[in-house]
Amino acid sequence: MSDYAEPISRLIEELRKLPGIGQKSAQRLAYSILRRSREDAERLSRAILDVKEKIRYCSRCNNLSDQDPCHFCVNPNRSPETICVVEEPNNILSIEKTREYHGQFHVLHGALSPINGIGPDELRLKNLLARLKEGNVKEIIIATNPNVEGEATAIYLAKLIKPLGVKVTRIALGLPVGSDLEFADEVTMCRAMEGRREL
Amino acid sequence: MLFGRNAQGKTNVLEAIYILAYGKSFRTVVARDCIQHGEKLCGVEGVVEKQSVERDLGVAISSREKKLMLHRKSVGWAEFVGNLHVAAFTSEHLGVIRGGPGERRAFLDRAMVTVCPGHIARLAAYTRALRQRNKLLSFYQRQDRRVDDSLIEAWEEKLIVEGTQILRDRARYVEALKGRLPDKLFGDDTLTLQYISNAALEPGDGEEIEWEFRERLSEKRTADLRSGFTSVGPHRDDLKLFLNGKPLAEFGSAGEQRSSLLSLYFAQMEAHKEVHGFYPVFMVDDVEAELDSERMKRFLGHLAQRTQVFLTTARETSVAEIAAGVRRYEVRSGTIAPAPAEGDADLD
Ligand SMILES: [Zn+2]
Repeated sequence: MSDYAEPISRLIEELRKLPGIGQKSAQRLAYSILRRSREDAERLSRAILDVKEKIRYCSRCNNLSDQDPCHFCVNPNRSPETICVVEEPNNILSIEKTREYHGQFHVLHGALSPINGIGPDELRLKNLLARLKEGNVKEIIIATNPNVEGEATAIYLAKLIKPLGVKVTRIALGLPVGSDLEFADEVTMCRAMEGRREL
Repeated sequence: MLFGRNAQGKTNVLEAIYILAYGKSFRTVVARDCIQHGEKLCGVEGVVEKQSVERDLGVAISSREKKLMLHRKSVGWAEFVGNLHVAAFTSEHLGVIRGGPGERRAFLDRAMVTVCPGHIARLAAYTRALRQRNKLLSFYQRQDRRVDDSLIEAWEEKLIVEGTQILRDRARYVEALKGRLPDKLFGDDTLTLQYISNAALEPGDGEEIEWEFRERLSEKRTADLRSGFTSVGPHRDDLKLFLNGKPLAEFGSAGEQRSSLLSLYFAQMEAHKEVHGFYPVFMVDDVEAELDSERMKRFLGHLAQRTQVFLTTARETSVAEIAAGVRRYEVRSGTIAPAPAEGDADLD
């Protein structure tokens, strides 16, 4: 089927499997890699293997990290009294950009969604409850996405956590409804953090 | 007035105007169905003049995406919609009277788009939460697992928050329509409306609705778990229509049903005007199929003083007899040409 030499078409096929990469982009990337030096190609392939080999989930907060516990969990300058709960690791970046938050994080790796077969058991909740039982945590800030699934997840977590005597707040949704935290700019995110309300 | 034989493209003109207003067709929900068979894309462009301000509107639809344009720049839905308001009257809309509750809810929701900002977004959120709760119910129905009430409640909470507002807004809108039904436009008949909800028997203020809706949802939870379906909420509501005290769908004649529906549309236009200060553009597809000449005369007289009207008809002459001064265009094989006015060949 292919007009390319076998190694090129193999590379194109692999690149096409990545999100947002179509046939044309895959070709362009493949030729760009082909034109570069051997060292460039080695650096790229090593970088790809390194993320697979060295990046793990932090056993405390489920963030992606090259150390366990991750640098958020071991940083003595970060308060152990608040935990901000997010859906995905990249949500941490949006919140960190504000430089306003100095507590801990917890990544659920998803939100409740029966349609997609995601219930409480599919979220990474067990180690969150374990962290709460250690007794240092005074407030849980729920920063799941402001869409239907994120809201339901927030309500469910509040029902789960409040009986443990921990204050549960939800970031204020100055964020456009139905959007993802990933796309929130710093100013909106700052306001969302400041204006959080108790659940 | 657009006249011409069938299948020459008259309805397409109305459809194009409608697309410019709402970014979608009244004939299909799937945007790419608007594209002619064998073609890759379709587009509509138009200039809307409102209080002597002109706006360039455009919609481009391909199989992959839809682009909404204002002054030739791509804009979001919120910015696009609201530049042109249209009320379309086609035979399909008789479903509002003869069809199921779903069609009447759709009528209300469509009409509320322009007077109740946020309604569509709330409906979308409500529907999403409803699908999620139903999926969870059917999961418990199939699997013999301990029911986690707080999990069901998490989805109910979203239903209650959005549903309360939806219910209250719809009930208020029906009240607004009631007060604006045209008086004696089609004889001495009196049309009355009633919004019915199984979530709140008498939709009062928001807090009461919320309280009642919450109660009913938890009352019905066991039954819902058995059926795998959410039985309470504004997704089950209905708008009841009565003519002279009798249910219109069962007791009204075809003519009475059509004029009642028109009255409903007129009330919708008045409600629109109250909010925006002007009437929406009115369109009637195949006007002769919809109205006998007596009703049409009253109808055109009522509208002509208020807004621009687009009509399509297969029989050119009858409308011309009823309404003088109508600008007439002939539609033939997809092209539109102005037709000379009756007895005045020099015009234009
Ligand atoms: Zn960590």
